[in-house]
Amino acid sequence: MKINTRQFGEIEIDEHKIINIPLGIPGFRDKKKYVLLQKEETVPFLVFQCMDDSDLSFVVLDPVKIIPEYTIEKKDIEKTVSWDLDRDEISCFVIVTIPNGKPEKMTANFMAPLVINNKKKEGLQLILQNSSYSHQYQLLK
Amino acid sequence: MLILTRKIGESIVIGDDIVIKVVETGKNSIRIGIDAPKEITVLRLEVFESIQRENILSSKGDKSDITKAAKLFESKEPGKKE
Repeated sequence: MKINTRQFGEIEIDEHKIINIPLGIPGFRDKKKYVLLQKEETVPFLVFQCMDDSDLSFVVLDPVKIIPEYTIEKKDIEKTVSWDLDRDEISCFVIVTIPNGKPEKMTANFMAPLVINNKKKEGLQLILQNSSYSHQYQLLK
Repeated sequence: MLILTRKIGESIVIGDDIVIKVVETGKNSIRIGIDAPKEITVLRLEVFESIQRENILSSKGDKSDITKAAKLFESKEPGKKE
């Protein structure tokens, strides 16, 4: 199907790639359908594009690229959703903030990763409120 | 705002299944225990607000900055061969 995206204009996506975020994310609770997009020129970043609003997208990144030992505890996911973590494959991304015109000051939110169940095609923003990770972690030091 | 007085060990219930109990009081703080269903997220307000603010900031990034950020990232990635 064809969709409009903020970053790449109109593009074709596979309907099977649509991710449901039943609770939305803080600030955007009513936006529940997203798709992950990646193009060569944006590597290592991906674009988390909202399907309900073509003007809404987030830059995301695999956290392990920055903090190799970054892990999320199973119990933190299980507290929030009933997923079969032994069987389902889970992906994790951190949301990146790039201040306008100052990409060198970009930060990522390691305190509230996006966690996606690839089998269920469902996700959430998991807020790790007791974690020592920053929600504004400087990516370039 | 509804204001109630409770003693240590006493609780209030919100709806059918959210129970908030006063566990302990200190000089300038109280400890509260919360029992709520899984789908109800319980967060310290300042944590929730900071995550919400960060999401909004992230969504407002200039779309041309992602490629610049990607280039910067590539050139500064530790261990990368020149």
